[in-house]
Amino acid sequence: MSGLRDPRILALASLMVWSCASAPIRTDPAIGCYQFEQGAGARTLGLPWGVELDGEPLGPGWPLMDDLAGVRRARTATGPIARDDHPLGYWRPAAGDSIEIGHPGGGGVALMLSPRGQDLIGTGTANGDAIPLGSAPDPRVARAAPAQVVARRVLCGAS
Amino acid sequence: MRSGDGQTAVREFTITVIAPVNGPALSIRTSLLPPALAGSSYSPALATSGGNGSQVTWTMLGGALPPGIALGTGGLLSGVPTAAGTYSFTVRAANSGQSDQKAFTIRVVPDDLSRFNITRVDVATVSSAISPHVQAAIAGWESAIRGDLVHEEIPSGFFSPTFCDGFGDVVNGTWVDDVIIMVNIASIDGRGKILGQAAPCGISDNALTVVGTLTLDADDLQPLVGTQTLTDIIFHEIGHVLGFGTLWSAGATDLVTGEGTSDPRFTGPQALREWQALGGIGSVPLENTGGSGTADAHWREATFRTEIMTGFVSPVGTPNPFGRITIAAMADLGYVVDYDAADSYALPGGAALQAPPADPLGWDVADPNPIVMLMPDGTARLIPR
Repeated sequence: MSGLRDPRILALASLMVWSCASAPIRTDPAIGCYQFEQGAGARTLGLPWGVELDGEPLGPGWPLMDDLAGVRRARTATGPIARDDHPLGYWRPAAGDSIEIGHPGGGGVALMLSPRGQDLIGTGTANGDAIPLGSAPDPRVARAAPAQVVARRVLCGAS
Repeated sequence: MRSGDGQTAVREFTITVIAPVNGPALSIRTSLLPPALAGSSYSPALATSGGNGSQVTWTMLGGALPPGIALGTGGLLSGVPTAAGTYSFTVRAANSGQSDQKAFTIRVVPDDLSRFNITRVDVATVSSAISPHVQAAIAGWESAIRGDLVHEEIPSGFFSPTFCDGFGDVVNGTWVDDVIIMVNIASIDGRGKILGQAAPCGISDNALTVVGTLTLDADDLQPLVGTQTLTDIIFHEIGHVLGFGTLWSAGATDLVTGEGTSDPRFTGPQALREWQALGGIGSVPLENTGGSGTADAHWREATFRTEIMTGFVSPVGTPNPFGRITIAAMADLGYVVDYDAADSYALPGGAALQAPPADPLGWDVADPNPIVMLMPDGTARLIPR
């Protein structure tokens, strides 16, 4: 009992409580960091090194995401540590056990991945808006075929 | 036929199958007519579908055709419109026993050879909430591109109906000064993902767009109505219609190197000059992520960030400046431009220098940390890879 009154221990305990309260709540098993296998699909889609799916809500300024359920922030991993805001910036639950990953302003690519063990596997589609002359009579038909995507779970901050 | 008690009766019948009197319903297939250019010939043809095979005759039911234009009994509208304005009328198509009628509008636009003109053709309903965004975006480009370009005829039947996003025949049989952009609003892929797509579908001898299509995803517009972001998105798409990222390889000189690699670059000399004025080195970095329609067709987001022709829109509330470098890229395509239309734009801190790597970085780059360059004045500058 006397130990709990030790101000150093109380300070440590309060710090631990504060830390737990402010940390993202890890409620979804998909939360974590992933490195994309750099196969043909990743090259076709111009995927970055990887993606970090976190539990934070998406920040303000993305009204297209406002009425979609379960949208959370994703961060593009340009390497094991470095992060950027594109091409991937959000993720959300999709049909079944799959999740959708894309950019909250649209464009770029959209990935539809499902868990397989610790990893995520599925397809991605290019959502680009610039259709070169003569590529197709109907841009919507011209959308690229889905490409295979494999995202291997890695420790965040480690290669 | 055999009865229950075993008696049998036989009789022969004949059934004669005859063709239906009227055949499939006669229907006017033409949905829209192209705009007309005052003082230039106009010759779109109205068309029907269905019918019983007998000859179709066209007549005016009401309203008024533009002065100078007449409707032939075969459905050809022809003549030279003399006065600008919007003219609404109703036509009737009839054969022996069938008929259909439909209302049309022809907009006669003045032939203004003193400036660059974009003629907008709405091929779907563009609501009064969306229309001002489209108009503001068009006005923005008309202020940045100044020189009159072409005065060109699109003959009847030139575009197949399946071309130009399925609206090819909407522009057949008219003249263009300088560009016709068909604006379509349709459901593409639900909320998010594809917001819009844009393409030139016809170019002139100068390798610049004469006709193009701009399709906006109906599912994405409502949350953006009233924001500058929506105007910026439409402006961005019109940039693609006019050739930004879509005609860079269509002319005599290919303006891109390294397409499909991790380090594509734009090499147009005027954009290069603006790039250097921003502090850049080498040629101008193009987007290297995002796959087809994004990569190789936009300024690189990691370098230019908020500039309006990068591949990723900024959050609502963040300006997307129209940089001189984008205007310069249009000049490299062959447009006569006005740099005064540019917004103030500078590269984000530390992003200025982007020398082409001696050995282009692979997709499996492991060290993403910026290069630190010591400057002559003793300061350090971070150069993103």
